[in-house]
Amino acid sequence: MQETNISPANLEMCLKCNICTDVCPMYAVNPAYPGPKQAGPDGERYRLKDPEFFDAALKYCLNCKRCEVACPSGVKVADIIAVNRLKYGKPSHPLRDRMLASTDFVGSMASPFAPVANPVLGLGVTKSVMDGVLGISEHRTFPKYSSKKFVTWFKRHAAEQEQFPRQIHYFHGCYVNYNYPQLGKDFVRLMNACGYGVKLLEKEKCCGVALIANGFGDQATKQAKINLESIGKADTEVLTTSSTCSFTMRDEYEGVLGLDNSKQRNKILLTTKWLFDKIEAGEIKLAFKEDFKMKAAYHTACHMSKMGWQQYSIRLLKMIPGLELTVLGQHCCGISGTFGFKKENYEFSKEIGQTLFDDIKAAAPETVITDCETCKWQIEQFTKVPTFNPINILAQAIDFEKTQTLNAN
Amino acid sequence: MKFDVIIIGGDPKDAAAGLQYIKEGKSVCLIAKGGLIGVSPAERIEFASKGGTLLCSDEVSAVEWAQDGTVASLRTANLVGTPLEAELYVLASGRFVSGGLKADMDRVWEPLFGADVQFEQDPEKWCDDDFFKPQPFEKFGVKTDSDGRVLKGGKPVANLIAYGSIIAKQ
Repeated sequence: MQETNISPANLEMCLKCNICTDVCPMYAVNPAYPGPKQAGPDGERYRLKDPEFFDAALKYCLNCKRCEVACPSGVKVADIIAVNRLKYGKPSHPLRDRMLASTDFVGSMASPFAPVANPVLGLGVTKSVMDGVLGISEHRTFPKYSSKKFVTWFKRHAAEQEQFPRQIHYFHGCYVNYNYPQLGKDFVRLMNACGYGVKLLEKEKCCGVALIANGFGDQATKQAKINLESIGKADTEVLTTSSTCSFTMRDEYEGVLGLDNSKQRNKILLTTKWLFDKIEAGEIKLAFKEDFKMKAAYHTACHMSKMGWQQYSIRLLKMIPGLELTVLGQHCCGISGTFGFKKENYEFSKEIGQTLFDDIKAAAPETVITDCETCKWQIEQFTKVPTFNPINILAQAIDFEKTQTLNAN
Repeated sequence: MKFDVIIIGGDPKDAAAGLQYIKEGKSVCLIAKGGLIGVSPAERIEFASKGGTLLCSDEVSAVEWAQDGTVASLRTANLVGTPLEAELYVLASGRFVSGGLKADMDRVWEPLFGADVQFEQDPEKWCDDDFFKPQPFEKFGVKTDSDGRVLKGGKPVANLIAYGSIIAKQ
């Protein structure tokens, strides 16, 4: 019987219905991409016979996972594509791809020189050189590097954190560490208000999403093993503030890298999910500032939608009395991490995101809220609306002293 | 996570049921397992745009029962660790392809709630040799009382009703 004969990634369950192709944002704008059905389960039948059938056009897959969310038969369409890209794909621009994928390395190199690196990266002439030599689109602005890393800031406050009776681990990720320490600081502030002290993992490496996307599977596996070991040792849940970091460690480590993360998977949680569950269970209470006012729109990142966790962020945000929230329709923003930075993908990236940009303009919010850092870059670039993580907004909206008193016991 | 109504989907008309409840002003959650091809995606999109909570590509992983025999809460595969609670649960999980009903060689059952299922005991009588005649297995489904409540062990579950193709036919 079929149910006892399941192939890897549920390949055999594909009914050829093409609903995955229908929802694929890349297929809609790029005739060179054969679509998820052809690139995934259909192509896989050929590739199993002969790897010569590998089609270089698989590089266009955004790994947004919308195909998997839509599939009525549980086929891991995007996993099939990702695994094959790692196996057979060749980088179109090895130096650039290595640079974009090595978020840890580049971040640690750029951070000390941030006061110089940021203006230089923003110069027209630098952009032209990067466009011509490296194939990084001149239309892109690199996210700014922070001169002080989150980890450096945290170390100075680690002792205070140990004073809290309850503790929680934080996987900060590269973006918080090198570019946007404020999000990490807001996370710590929010946890402290809730009566929790924050601990970092024994060792943390980039989750590896950019390495997987750019074809560096061996390096991704090495980093994943270090993260899994540290998460395994953690004596509490491990919270993140990035939907993609959570998703990668929960689902891609197993589905794409083939690692066993069954012991760690349910410990890895997005902060909004953890917080919502604690509030529902009556273990945490939030008090909000009476004068907080904001008109915002929430964008569901693709990986958030894949995990099905947008409900947590939306419901938490709706608890804020002064927040007028529009929930946007679920459309891909088009950046897909490093994908949108590549010169050859810039136009696709922009075109895919257009529906979302139009929706944001129609909603006319003061801010957009999303759980994904790269969606933030894309939305800010094309709509000019400042974009924040739900944790930034919650940290701003809570009455710190009152919340701390409510959670004192 | 609390709602007025939770629909356990899979039936082609699951979102239509959800829209009906939304019209009545209820807060509705649809646990929308893939189901059949062409499972009215337009209705699902409308459901979400009108404020329904659509849990796409998710499925019920556990049912918790109250002591009085009513459904207390559900868990889903994606929202692990979060109990989903409602005043009313609607079993609209469809039949065999969507997994609302399960069958092996001599038995048909409803896998989530263990509802009473009407089916022909003799597997030889499940199909008619003439392919073009109505097939007896199409009448298999969960048993309900006159109010549409699902029967379990011969008794109706007070807060669980069946909807759509999963209901047994005469």
